Amino acid sequence: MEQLKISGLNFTYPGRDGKDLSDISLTVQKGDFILLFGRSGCGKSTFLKQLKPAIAPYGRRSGRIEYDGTEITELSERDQSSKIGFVSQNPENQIVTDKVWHELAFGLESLGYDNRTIRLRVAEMASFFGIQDWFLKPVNELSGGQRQILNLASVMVMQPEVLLLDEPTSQLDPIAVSGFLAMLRRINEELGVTILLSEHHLEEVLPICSRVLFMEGGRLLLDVTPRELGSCMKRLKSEMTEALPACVKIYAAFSEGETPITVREAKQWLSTQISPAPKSPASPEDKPLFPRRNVQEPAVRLEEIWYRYEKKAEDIVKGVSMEIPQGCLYGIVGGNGVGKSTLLSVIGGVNQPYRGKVKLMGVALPKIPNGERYRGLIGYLPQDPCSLFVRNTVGRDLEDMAYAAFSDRQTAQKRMERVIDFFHLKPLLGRHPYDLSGGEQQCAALAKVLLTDPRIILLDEPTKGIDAVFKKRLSKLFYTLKEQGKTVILVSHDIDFCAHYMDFCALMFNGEIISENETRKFFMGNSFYTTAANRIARGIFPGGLTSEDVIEQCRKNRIGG
Amino acid sequence: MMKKSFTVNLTGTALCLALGVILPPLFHLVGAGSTFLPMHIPVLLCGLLFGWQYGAVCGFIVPLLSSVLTGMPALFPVAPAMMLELCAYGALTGFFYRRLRWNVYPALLVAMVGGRIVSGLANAVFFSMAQKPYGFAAFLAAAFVTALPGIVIQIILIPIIVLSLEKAKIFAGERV
Amino acid sequence: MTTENNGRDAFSAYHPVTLFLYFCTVLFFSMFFLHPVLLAISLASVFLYSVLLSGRKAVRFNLLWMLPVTLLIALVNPLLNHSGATILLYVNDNPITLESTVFGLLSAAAFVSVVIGFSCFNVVMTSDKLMYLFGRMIPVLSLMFSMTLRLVPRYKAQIRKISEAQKCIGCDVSQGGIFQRIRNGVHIVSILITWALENAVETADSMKARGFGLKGRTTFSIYSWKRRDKTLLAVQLALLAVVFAGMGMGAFETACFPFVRIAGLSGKSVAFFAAYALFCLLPAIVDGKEYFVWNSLKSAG
Ligand SMILES: Nc1ncnc2c1ncn2[C@@H]1O[C@H](COP(=O)(O)OP(=O)(O)OP(=O)(O)O)[C@@H](O)[C@H]1O
Ligand SMILES: Nc1ncnc2c1ncn2[C@@H]1O[C@H](COP(=O)(O)OP(=O)(O)OP(=O)(O)O)[C@@H](O)[C@H]1O
Ligand SMILES: [Mg+2]
Ligand SMILES: [Mg+2]
Repeated sequence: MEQLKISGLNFTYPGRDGKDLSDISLTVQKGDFILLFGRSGCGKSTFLKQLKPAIAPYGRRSGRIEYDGTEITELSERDQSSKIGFVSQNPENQIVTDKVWHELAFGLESLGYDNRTIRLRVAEMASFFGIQDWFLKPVNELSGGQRQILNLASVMVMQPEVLLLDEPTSQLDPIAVSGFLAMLRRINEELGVTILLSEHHLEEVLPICSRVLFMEGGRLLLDVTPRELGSCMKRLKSEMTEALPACVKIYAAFSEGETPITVREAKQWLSTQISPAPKSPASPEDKPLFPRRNVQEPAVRLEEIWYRYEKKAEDIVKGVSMEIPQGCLYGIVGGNGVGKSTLLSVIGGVNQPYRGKVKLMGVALPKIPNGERYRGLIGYLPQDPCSLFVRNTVGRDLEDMAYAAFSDRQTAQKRMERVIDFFHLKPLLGRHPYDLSGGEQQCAALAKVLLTDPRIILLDEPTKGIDAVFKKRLSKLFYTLKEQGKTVILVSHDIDFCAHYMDFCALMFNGEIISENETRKFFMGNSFYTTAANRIARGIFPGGLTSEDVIEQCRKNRIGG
Repeated sequence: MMKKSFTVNLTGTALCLALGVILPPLFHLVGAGSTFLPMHIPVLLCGLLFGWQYGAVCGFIVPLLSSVLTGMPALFPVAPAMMLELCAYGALTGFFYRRLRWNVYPALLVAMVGGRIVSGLANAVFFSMAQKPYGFAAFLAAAFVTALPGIVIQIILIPIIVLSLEKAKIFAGERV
Repeated sequence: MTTENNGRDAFSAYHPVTLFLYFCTVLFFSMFFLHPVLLAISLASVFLYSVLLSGRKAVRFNLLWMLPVTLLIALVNPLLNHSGATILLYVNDNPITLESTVFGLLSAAAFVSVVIGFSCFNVVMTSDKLMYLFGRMIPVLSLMFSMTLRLVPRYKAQIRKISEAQKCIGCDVSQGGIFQRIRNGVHIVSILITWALENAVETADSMKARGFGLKGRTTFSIYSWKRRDKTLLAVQLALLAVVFAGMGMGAFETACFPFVRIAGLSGKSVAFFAAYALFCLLPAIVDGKEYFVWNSLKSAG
């Protein structure tokens, strides 16, 4: 049954020329699970919000959106709010009240249900989502993943027929992501709720959705099943091919037609291709190891660092010792709340350890005067880039920073121009930092951090909310920095990114560094904390870590002719 | 000036309330506590941005909430007088700026004077109830002289914030 | 759906209305009646309840802080206040009167009961319960409270984040001269305000997306009237009727100046005091009953 029928939808934000959505036509059947993807700024959020008139942005709109045969703006407000649910990117901003139970009841209160009905529905949803244990807690004691599940549940209590989700998992760690997606799958399969979801990271979503839409520049370019996606993207020759999951990429490199969409299927396919074991299994040593430059002082040296936030609180960083050589790219991975950001802030001198020593370039951190520390030695990009911005345009913000860092106006000017060129920030200089898209915000913040030309660069999750093309650009930037002899230490949930571009990786767990190695060796040993490509190639090509590796190995073994 | 929806006004008022609880301890931390009147800023903002009803409610509740959550100011006899004073600020700024559409500066000034008159009266009443003498000179000193830096900062800071917010249309684009 | 219960105390799991009634009554009588018997009852029962609530910590707090304060008030009052007719002795030519001494002792006891009573109030009457009680009158206000309580910890965390980020780009609030520090502080506040407003727009969207602003909004609460709540309320009201009757008949009358005059004890007034004592001891009775039921169940099983 047709649930949503969109025909010839156009939309333009006020004061912009060119359409932000142009000529979108689409029919959504009841029970569809639709994935929406495309570059940052291509209009995904704008499109999703059009389907929920209560929060649709101002602007010029033409075309029709019909819900069960009625124009959507003519639905009664009550129907609109209960039948169409919306969950957005930032879990924090959606939570209105201070207690979990109150948040769950909020929507039903608005609809004017009596106490008994609310009690019943809330109890039911709380048990469906496994919320009982933290039902009475204040919201600020929940973890990020729990918060997003609360958002989903507090929309689901209103028993919507359609669920719109705008990058709901962008702030979560890999484990929380799979938990959240499993919930969505149950909602779709067990309750038959229609789901439209926008997402940058396709790896986990692709297997559970029934249709994929690809958008570019406000247009709908593709509307296919997940299995057709690989070949269609190949035909489009879009740069977003980069974003496809490993199983699709590997398959599409050799065969046409429907691709496998799970690791299991890809593995089965790969093993049918090579019936006997490959003749010369490439060992991990095939690739050259990154040379340890032991001759120089290490850029960062930690000696048994202990840190806690309050005197009587728990230890967050527990006796971490590590050495990070100069001129390398070093990635730290680990689950939510294990203390990665805290460790980074200790290295950056924002928080002082109560035991142990931090040495940067061979000098103990407390001995480096403040002026020097943040003017050329350390550059630190915090997890929330918004907290760096002070002024109301990007340009003014950079100027502020440059003039503070360099007493000489001319040097400041020059340095600023170089950074702006480097990051292609020209078109953004006049915009308000908060109005930028996620990727642009990261970039502007990074530019600000790099203004002082620091030698040690600490980045806290620089890849979140960023599309694949942008990530590639970021990796080029890292290589440039490395060539200049800078040291980059980054914390990330993005295992693929670390596997592709880092020289060394470390796993943090419960306040300690559990393992640390050259990237290739590091990921080879893990079974869960590793890339999908590695999981596909395991047992077949022992050396495969990234999808490019696997494709290359396949070529060597003459797969697909 | 765009009319805003009830939802936005309510959210904004909650925001100002929270700021009113957060800012005073922050200023005290920096060592610029009572002279800067940090609790006044969000109340004045609330009146200017969302209207007199919201300003009044915000002003009335902030001291109470702050007193319950942070223990400052003392619940009696300071808080009741402050509640009335801040209520007057919020209501007056909202009334003159949003209702009568005055310019920001006169609206702010009139509200500041009006609020201090209310504060004087209230203090006289409550302190006499608490059996502490409250002189007119003490009132003048507290209301205008010690608070001078705070007043100056408010007169400079608040219009800038309000005008830039209205220019940036942060709360614009609302369906009424 | 259960209400929170800190394990030790069964009384605080009763309906908020009954709890509120309890605290109002006890605080009211300790504040406005200086009758020694009444005060002794109030003091003993709030002390007992605070121990039931917080255990040894309460005992230590009460002895360490309340005892000296009591003594101070009791001693200082006669030194400063010289009214009263019966002069006991002179200190520096100033008369110390019997009335003033008695008044000091009684008001010290009243003060201590009120303080301990409030400390129990704070533990038992959580924001949820208060919101339930007062939210009935003005639902919008209670929603606003709830939203504010959500924002306060959030803003605190954000201030920390902002000041850390500012520190890393060389604008440390704790560094530099007073003007530099103020400048940095104002910076942080203005960043916070912009950030807060920006995020509030999304919060407002989330509220609208869930139908806020529709006509006929109801207020949900996790509290419901169970039979035991009704029973407790009935007992409370019956006891209160007796106590108020006693109050009307002047059984609690006390005056210190110019002469100490305390309403004496008679058969009738003993009944009034007993009713009051029973009321004040309700938490202990409820908790005690629970304790014995548990023990008997355990030994039976
Ligand atoms: N309120 C607004 N006013 C004007 N232009 C806007 C507004 N919001 C978004 N835009 C612009 O509209 C375009 C589409 O934005 P949209 O937020 O829909 O992108 P998106 O695909 O969701 O990106 P992302 O993946 O980063 O979330 C962008 O170019 C953006 O700059
Ligand atoms: N300012 C703070 N005060 C007290 N505790 C904190 C503070 N910041 C973080 N924590 C606690 O320290 C622990 C580690 O936090 P941290 O932010 O370092 O984790 P993380 O590994 O970066 O997680 P994520 O992947 O979610 O960013 C968490 O349990 C958190 O609750
Ligand atoms: Mg978006
Ligand atoms: Mg972190």
